[in-house]
Amino acid sequence: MGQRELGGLVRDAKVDYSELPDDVLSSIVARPTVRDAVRTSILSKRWRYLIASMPTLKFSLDMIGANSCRHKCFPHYQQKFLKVVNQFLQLYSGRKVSNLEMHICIGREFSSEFDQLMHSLSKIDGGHLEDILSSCLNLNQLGLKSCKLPYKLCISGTVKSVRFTNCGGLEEIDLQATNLRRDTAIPYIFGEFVRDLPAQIKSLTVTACYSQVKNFPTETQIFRNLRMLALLLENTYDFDMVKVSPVLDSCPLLRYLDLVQWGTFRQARGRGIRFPLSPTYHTELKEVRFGGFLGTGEEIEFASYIVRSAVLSGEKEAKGPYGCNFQPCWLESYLALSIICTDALNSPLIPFNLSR
Amino acid sequence: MASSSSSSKTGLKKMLTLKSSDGDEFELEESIVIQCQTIKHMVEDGFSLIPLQNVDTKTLTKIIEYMKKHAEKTESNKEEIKNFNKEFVKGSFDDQFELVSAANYLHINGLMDLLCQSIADRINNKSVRAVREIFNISNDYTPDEEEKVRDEHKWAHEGGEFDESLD
Repeated sequence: MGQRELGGLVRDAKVDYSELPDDVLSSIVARPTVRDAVRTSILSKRWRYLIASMPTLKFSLDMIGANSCRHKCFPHYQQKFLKVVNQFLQLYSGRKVSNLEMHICIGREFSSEFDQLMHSLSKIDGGHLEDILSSCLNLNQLGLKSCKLPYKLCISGTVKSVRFTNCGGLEEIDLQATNLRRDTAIPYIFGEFVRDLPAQIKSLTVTACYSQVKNFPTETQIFRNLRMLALLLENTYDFDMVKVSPVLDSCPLLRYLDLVQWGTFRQARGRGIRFPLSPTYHTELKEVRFGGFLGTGEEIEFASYIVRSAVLSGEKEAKGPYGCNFQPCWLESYLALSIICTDALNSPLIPFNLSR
Repeated sequence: MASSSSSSKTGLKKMLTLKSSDGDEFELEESIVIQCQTIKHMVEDGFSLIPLQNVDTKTLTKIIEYMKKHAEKTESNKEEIKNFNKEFVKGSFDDQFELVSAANYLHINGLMDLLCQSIADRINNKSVRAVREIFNISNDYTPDEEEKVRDEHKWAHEGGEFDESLD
């Protein structure tokens, strides 16, 4: 591929550097400050748009010759900064930027310029909020206030706390919680996080790992609208699946539940002391999918708890004893098992093998 | 150029020969050479004599020097490598362009980064005239066009003195 790009380049005694391929020149142009890079556009026609391929953009007051310590809040510099950056970002419409840094404090009086800036950012390829968030690797706190959010939002990286205030649009959240603080991650997600979620959230995917799942809360906030919950538990150690049941109980309208374990380590041990699970009525539950189960006592207990809950709800309407004969076969070859509870009278529960 | 230092193990180490555009051959351990993606692919395709028509002996010698040093990279000699890199990029612009062009052809990412950064640092704050001279760029803008481009990013061209030197 790329290695043949210079194939036809013949070296004379005196090298003509205009023969350097664009990608080399772009790599060079991408290194200096934005200001120096921009100045190269005047070199010749060929160089004019090379600046529009910088993978990393760093904007700060320094680039307009202001000292970011001394001139921080001078409105004149704020205005100039916004103008310059806005103009520069025009070049990047539809182009790819993998890294964007901006250090500036903008006063309220420039809100329309700031809006324009956000608009320019969203036009960058990869400039959607979700992409911006997923590249904010050092982000600790995310607060979104009075925003019209995209339908789906993926939150990952080092985010420790997320709060939504008065936001619309969002219905689906993919929360990769693997960097949330270890022991409090799950209580946080099903506590504060849920409390602050916009009411319209219908779908939530949570990825958690290691010791994060140790502390599953016994009482959680209620997800009033949640229809789909996916819990992806990675590299867990000795995880007791039954702990998930209170979470399930807090989602009265849940229709689909996915529980996938991946890279789970287990230790042979006796069952700890625990309150027996009392079946809860899950009137809406349609489909539960388990993945990566090992067929332990807890997993079977949890699975039959689900079956009981769902069957109970079924009985109310259908009176049929279907599902009673359901015997999960936890063969080792069952990496995934799916339980489908249907409303239809004559449909039995069908356990089926999803993968090998 | 063969490394005979680890005599007892040489038998186990796979050797490769790189041939410059001037016809000179350099024998190197495969483990050193595979830093270079282009060669790595050729090795995977079963080549053991690798002709490099686009790299002359002078440039190849420098590149081998770089690869050998960087093959020694460990946790403990970071400082040493850093100093080596610093020395390595001290040549003239001509040498650096020659190297960057070869590094690009050979796909040695670390060297590309090093050289591009060094060239960028060296043209930092240079005047437009100086950069044109250094890169041997002929200005194909008409005066009007040039003025327009300058106006587009006026902020970048104003304020401060620019460096006119060519080194």
